[in-house]
Order: sequence, then structure tokens, then C-alpha cells
Amino acid sequence: MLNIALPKGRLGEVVFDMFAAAGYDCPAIREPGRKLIFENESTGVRYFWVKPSDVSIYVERGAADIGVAGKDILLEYAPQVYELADLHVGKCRMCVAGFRDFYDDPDRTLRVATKFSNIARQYYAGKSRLIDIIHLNGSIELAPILGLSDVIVDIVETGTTLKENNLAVLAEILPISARLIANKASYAFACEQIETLTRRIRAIADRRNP
Amino acid sequence: MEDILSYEEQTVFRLRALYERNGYRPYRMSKFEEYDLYAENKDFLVSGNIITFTDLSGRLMALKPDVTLSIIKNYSNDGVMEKVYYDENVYRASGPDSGYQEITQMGLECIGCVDDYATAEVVRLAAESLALIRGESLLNLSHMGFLRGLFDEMRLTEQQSSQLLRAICSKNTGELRQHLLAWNVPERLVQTACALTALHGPLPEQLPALAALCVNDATEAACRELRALDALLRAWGCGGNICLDMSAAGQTAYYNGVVFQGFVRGVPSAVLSGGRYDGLMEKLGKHAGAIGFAVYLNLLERLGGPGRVYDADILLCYDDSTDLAAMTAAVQALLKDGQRVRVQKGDAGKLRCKTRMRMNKTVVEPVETDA
Repeated sequence: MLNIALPKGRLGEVVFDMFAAAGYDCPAIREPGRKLIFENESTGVRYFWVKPSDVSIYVERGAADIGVAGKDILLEYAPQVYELADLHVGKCRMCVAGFRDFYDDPDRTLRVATKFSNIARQYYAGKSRLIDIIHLNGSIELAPILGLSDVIVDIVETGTTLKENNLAVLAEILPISARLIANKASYAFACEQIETLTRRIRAIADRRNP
Repeated sequence: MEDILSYEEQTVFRLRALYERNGYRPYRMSKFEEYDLYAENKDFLVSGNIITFTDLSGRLMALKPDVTLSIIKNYSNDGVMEKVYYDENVYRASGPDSGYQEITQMGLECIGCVDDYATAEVVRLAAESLALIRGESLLNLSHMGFLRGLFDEMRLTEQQSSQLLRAICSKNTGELRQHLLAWNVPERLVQTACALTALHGPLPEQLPALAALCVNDATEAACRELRALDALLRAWGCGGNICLDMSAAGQTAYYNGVVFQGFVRGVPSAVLSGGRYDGLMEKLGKHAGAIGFAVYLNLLERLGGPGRVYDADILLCYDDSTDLAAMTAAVQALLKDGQRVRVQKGDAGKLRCKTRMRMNKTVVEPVETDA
């Protein structure tokens, strides 16, 4: 039985549809109720929904054999897992954003508000730019508006929130999408099963993103 | 006796017996080492965070985060082969949220003229160590010489090589392809790297596939070495649980030949890792080859089942009216019966025992049972 951690929310539902289309359906998951774990013995899978940022923890620690996590989470927390496929869903961009007319004065330390401290630190280290990281857990866009930071590093999907607050993307750091990940020990012992699933899911993902 | 030993302790006994039988000498070392040794070789360490303190003579010392560096430092450089095993505690930060941890680590090192036989011996002992931990186990083998040969053929910089190695270690063929195309690596080599990353299976079955992916002398030499290793492992009658998987490659710059990671069912991460580290020897001024591995015993804590449920089988409470001679006889009888007995005066607090008894003057009376 393969334990699969799916991210709660809209992305998780899209991803589950991909698993179902790949032959790993589990009708129980669509039934209303408060069950936490859903199993389909005939296809050999057991699903559970977890907070998107927790998927990689479940997989790294072996509570789940495989899971689906955003590339942002994988880069930020660097879990020791295999990254087997890009599912080409949940697409967005990790960006630097700030006021449209923001001038980056090289004489001053750049104050960066973000949920993604490691990604921000690595990005600016690559530019040898001195920064002051302000780690926030939400409403990142508020930081430059209230003068808490000069810029933010955050995920941008459509850019609407930025636009409505007179902010704009100043630089794109990297594209983000959902990835199929696997626990290394689980892969070692269930290689064939995980590779078969990966091949099928990858085929579906590639069809969606020719 | 085995009942009271934790799974970790039982494993230590079994591994010590294995290494002693194969002629490895125990290596004992102090808990402290001069900080400089680690500061100069941070790349080799799992974590750069080290617990330091100043000793009475003003020297900056460290609680050792690693054993291998100390063993190499003390290698006499006389060309004589040294084979040692150790069972030590190391101190390191295992993650940003975990703080420092004391980790029980067991392992062995073979230093000197490391030829095909010595390599096969260490790999065999790694596989046998895993089998002793738990029957269902797997040793993934990779070869840094092969990977470096491929990187050289691609004419990659050090930074690009590290990026590529990261992608291979996480079996991320998508990112690997993306990087290589961005660096204008020829499609033939891109396909080789992708095929290499996908390899996984028993060593003898995968060797022909690996041979087909050779691109230069260095990769061919690595492939020959793996073939020789496979032949010797088979001569030993082991190899069933040894797989070729290039993702087992080490991230540090010091590994140069065979590298491996071991897994046992029930533990979510590698419980064993090791490889050939001639580069580290050279950096420390030692003119010899070296190969070894470490077993992370702290990861085995939960392998032995659910763990203890009761503090003792029998809790025997007494008070001032109890006849102590009669109680002594009663306790002796219970111990002789093989029970774990806790004798306590007054309140038992939160102790959890299968059976609770009270010594009423000269008679043992049952009180209540948790079971």
C-alpha cells in the first residue's frame, strides 16, 4: 500500500484528479464526511490531505511514501526527498515585488519581507547584496506599504493583489509548480510501484502541458 | 538479558562482533578535539554547526561532530593499513529546528592501500551491518569517479557540477535536463545524465546499463571498478541487497570512488552512509587511500517495536507496619519468578505497573491491576 500525502485545497483536488486519471482512483475521497484517510485496496493507495507546507515533512519522515509539494516549499526547506516529476499545475512565480518606482539604493541594506527566508537569502547572496530579512507568516504585501520593508519576496500567481496595492513585480526569481516527491527509503523498497506511478502521472502532466 | 537491552544496544553488540570477526580494532577517542580540525574541513561535515568551548589552557575545543576526521588525523602515514571500528557519540545540529543533538554513531574505517579487495570488504561489511540491523535492507551504491568523469566530459564548472550532483541525488531529471540545456551541453550527454539518474536495481543487473553510459576513460575506469566489486561481492555470496543507484552519491567534495547509502525497512532515511574519501586524506596530508562508513544508531530507536509499556511488572508498596524480613522473602520469590519488581514505600505516584501489591505486615496482598 502506497501512502500518498496530498495538499489540502484547490491544488490538491486538481492533483487528485490526475492520480485518479492515472489509475489510482479512490472513490471514498469524494464522499462527504470527516474521514482523514482514504484507502483503495484494489489500486493499492491510501490518501490523506495535509497542509500544503507540511507535505514534504510527511514524505521526508516516511509517514507518506510519496506526496505533492510546491517547488517553493522544496527550495525553502530543502527536505531530503526525491523530486520525481513536475506536474505542471499550481503554476506561479517566486518574485521580488515593491513599489513600481522603487529605487534600490546600493548604499543601504535592503530590507526584505518574506515567508521564504532561505530562497530570499540565496537569491540576494547570488547578487552579493546586503539584506535584512524580515520573516513574516502572512499578508506580506503590507510590509512595504507600511514601511516595514523595502521589498518583498513572495509567490505571485496573477499579480492582482500587487496591482490593487500599487505594487509591482520588480524581478522574477524562479517559476514554481507542484512536484511529485518520494521518500528515499520508500523508493528503495517500492521502486517499481513508485516508478510506475511516476511514469503514469508524468504522462498525464505532460499531456496537460505539451 | 536481551529483553532489557534497547534495539539500539542489541545492534551495537551484533555490529561489534561482526567488525571484530573481520579483524577491525576498536578505536576509542576523547569527546573533545581541537576546533581547528573541523573549521578547516567543514565541507566534509554533515553540519557546520559545532559546539565549542575554551579549555583551561585557552585552546578552542569542540565537542566532536564527527569521528572520521580524528581517525585520519591520527593515522601514522607509515603506509601500513589501519582497520578500525568505533562506537561513539557525536554532537551536531541535525536541522534548523532541532538544535544540537547527541547522536550515537558506529562505523568503521579502512585506511592504507585500498585495493579492490579492501573496497569489497568494506561494502560487504556495510551490507552485512544492514542485514544485522534488520533482515529487509538495501545498500544503494554509486560512484563519484563515474559522475566526475561525466561532469568533465560536459566541461562543467565546480558550481555547475554541484548543481548537477544535487539534481542527480534528488532524482530530479526535469531540473537536470533544464540545467544541462541551459549550459549548452550536447544532447547526447544530457540523455546520458538522465539515463544515469534513472538507474536503480541489483548491481549485477544494472552494470551492463551503466557500461553503455560510459563516455570517457574516467567513466570506464569507474565501471571496471564496480565490475570488480560485483565479482568479489558475489564470490562472498552477498549482493542480493546491493543496488546500483547513482543518487546515493555524496554531496561532499571529498568522496572520490564508491559511495553508498543503506536503508532498512521501517526507517524513513538512510541509516548507513559511507564511501571512498581519498580527497579528505590528501587534504589532511596523508598519503593513503581510505574507505569507511557510519551507522546512525539513533535512527534505530523505534525499530524494536512499541517500546516499554510498564515501569515494572509488579509494584510492591509497604509502610511502617510492614515486616521487612517477610517482605525481603516475598521480593526474592517474585524476582526468582522472573518478574521485574519495584519496591516502594508510600505513594507510587505515576508509576505504571502490571500488578500493584501491598505488603500488609507479613502478607502480600494484590491492590489493583492496570493490565
